[in-house]
Amino acid sequence: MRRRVLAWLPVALCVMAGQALAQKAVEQKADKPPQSQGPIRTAPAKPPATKPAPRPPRKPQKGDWTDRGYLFVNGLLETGGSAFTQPQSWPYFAETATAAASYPSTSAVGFDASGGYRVWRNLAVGAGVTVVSRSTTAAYSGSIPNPLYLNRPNLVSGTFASSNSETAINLQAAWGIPVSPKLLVVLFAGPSIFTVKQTVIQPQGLSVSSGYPYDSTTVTVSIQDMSKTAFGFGAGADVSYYFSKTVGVGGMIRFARATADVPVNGQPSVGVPAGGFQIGGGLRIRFAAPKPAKPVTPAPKPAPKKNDS
Amino acid sequence: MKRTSRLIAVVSTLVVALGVLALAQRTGQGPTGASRMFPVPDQTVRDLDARLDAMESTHELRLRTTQIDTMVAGRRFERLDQYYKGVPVFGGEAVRETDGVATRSITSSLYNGIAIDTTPSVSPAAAADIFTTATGAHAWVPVNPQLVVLPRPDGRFVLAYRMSAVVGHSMPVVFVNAKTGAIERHYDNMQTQQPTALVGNGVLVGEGLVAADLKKVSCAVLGTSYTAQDLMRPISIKTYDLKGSFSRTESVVGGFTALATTDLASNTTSTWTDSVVADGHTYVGWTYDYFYTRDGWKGFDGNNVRSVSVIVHPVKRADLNTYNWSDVSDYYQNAFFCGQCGYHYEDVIVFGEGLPANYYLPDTGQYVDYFVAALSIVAHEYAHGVTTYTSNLIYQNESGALDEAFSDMMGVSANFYQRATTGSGMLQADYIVGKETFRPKQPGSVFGTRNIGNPAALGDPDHYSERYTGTDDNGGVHTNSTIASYAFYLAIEGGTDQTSGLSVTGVGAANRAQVERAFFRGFTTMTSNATFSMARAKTIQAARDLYGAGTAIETAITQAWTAVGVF
Repeated sequence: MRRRVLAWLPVALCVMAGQALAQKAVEQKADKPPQSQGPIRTAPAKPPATKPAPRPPRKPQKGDWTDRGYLFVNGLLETGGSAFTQPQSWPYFAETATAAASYPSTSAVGFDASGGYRVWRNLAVGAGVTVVSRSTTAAYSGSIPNPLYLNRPNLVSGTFASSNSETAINLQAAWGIPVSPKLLVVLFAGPSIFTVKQTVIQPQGLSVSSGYPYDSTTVTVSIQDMSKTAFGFGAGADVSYYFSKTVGVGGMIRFARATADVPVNGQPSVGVPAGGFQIGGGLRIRFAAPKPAKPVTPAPKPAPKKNDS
Repeated sequence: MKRTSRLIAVVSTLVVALGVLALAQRTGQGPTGASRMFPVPDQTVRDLDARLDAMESTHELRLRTTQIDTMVAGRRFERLDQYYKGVPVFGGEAVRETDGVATRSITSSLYNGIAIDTTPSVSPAAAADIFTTATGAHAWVPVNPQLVVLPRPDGRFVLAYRMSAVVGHSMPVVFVNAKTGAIERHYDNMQTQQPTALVGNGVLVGEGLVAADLKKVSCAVLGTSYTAQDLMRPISIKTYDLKGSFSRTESVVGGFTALATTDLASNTTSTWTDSVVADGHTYVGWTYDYFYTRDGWKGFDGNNVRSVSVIVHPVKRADLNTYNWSDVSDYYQNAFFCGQCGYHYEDVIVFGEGLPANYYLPDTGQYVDYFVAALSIVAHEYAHGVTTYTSNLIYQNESGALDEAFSDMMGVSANFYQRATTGSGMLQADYIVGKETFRPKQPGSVFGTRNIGNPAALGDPDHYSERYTGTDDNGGVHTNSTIASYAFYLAIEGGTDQTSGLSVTGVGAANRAQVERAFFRGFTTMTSNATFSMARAKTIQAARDLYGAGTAIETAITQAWTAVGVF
């Protein structure tokens, strides 16, 4: 259900943006003077029309977002990331050794900053960056063939320290909904570019040492940090409360997701899920739109001088 | 028939456990080999130890080897040979078990009352000529005459030359009286399976002789081919393919020709194609693993010093009728361990080629396949090597039967250890020796060459009173062995001896390792002229040492020996 809602979110935003554009088009049409159809009548020409007065700017209406732009800065907690596994296999004494590392789903903390510029009514475009990192204890298990006997593998298992970091560039279309002068809700969505850095086991990274009689196997895990960039998507909502005209605090919730296929030489790439549910909170800064210039009152004409001589 | 190894002189065999029991056996009491057990105070150990010390000080006893006890930490066994005026006394030995501080037990077969002149009248060369004449060996074959004091069956002692050589497919040991030139004693020391009558450096997979029996063949890369040289285990195990050349086999086993690298069995494909090599090479490794894991025993000598040379395809089946059968029979329907008989004094195990498909043994109606097909046979021959470097049992009469019994017991034990399932089928573990090699062909014939779980099934005795007392087969070493090996079976599985009617409560198959370890420890710490009675005492003592006095394992072993009539 949650996924369905999230999936419709960008559609809804697009619809809102489309409606807004359509309305603007209607308004522009109404402002145009009627076009001439040619000299049909011979009535004396009217004096040339004077240049129409500029259309007064649309008065802000209730519900319009009037800020010029915004900057959100958040501390971030990312939860709901997916666990993933890294399978490996390699030939070992006429059989196949198999192993799998399991990387658990854990929360991550990080930083998020985004900014936007309102381009039309309540619609803004912007960009942001999200950085999170986590340290986990990954587990491995494997089946290592006995060098001397068929089908008598030694089972191995253990843990190793693993780390993960994500840097995401988020492009956003945002729709601001000022609930009150101090309270602003912003819905946003857009593509994200994730750069994932993940600790993975190297090819045949389960370094097996087994001495005679080979009834046990000592495993040394060799790990490596691998990076991969992936495209994903993110959408969420932000609620801000402003103490003043420009500064406030707010909270944000977002779901972002991408899968980075981290390559491992000679082995299947590892599909590392990035993103998750992100909850953040922090500073809010909005930039008010410039006020329209006051009309200039013409200076009163000086009274004509009387000639008394 | 009288046993040629019967000891008439004052020979005492003592197994004395510190503060517990001691067993004294007089092997000079006649063919019955009666013995008795009685409690002995600690003083007995100290007295006997003092006697050994005194004999060592006068060089009447000389330390031959020290063997680390692989089962009880801190223990070790010292083997001492008896000498008389600087001449070794054949069979005169003592085994002293110490814990680093005190002597824990002593097993001895020492001879008293020796009073002979040790100056030979017959020269070594003349003795060698007598050996050559008696055995048919080539005159140029070195026989290394060794002067010994030989105990005779009549209780007297004679000065004799002990000589031995590989002659054809036998290894006769002959004692020539150094005063008169008469042959005093002889036996064949070729330790055979049965009386003569059948994936880089790494491992390949090969199919064994039983169809679809895939196994890993530990091999080494040599040039562009793989060779059957095991580099994965702590000792060198090499399997040589003599490609059916009987003349070369004879020369190699006789120690005249060195095994060459080009003799190593080789393979050029990623799967080992010769099933005979795959089985033989692999099963020797499996046997090494069994002894290592079960008993902590490394190789033949316990220290990984001795390498293992395996010979397959010593003859060709198609050449069966080319030779004089008596010259080649062991290379077809037998397997044997030949200690230090290679050119470089290496230990050699030769596995027979089996018979052509249309042949069978007339006395048993069995077809005989390759001898490497049966793990129990391969382990049997390997165990002869262990015996050679431990108790070095004289391959004749009771000690020879114990040698065979030990090999059979270890053979089936290795099978139980390595096989995934038990049962009567191929590649399943049971108490039949050689099941995969000896297969029924004629109506009424059965599997195997011996059945230590039911000796009567193949005509072997299950009781001491039924033992063979003739001279054939070195005094029935392959027949009387089942008396001891059946005791081993009873101690594990329990049951009733059909001859004595006595029942045994076995420890059960789940505890077979206890019996295996007790028998290993007992049989590898005996003296070379051991008797069944000594084997009984040693295995019972081993059970006590390993598992404590009065335990079920001790009771089972005691009951088992009693059931088979050995006291």
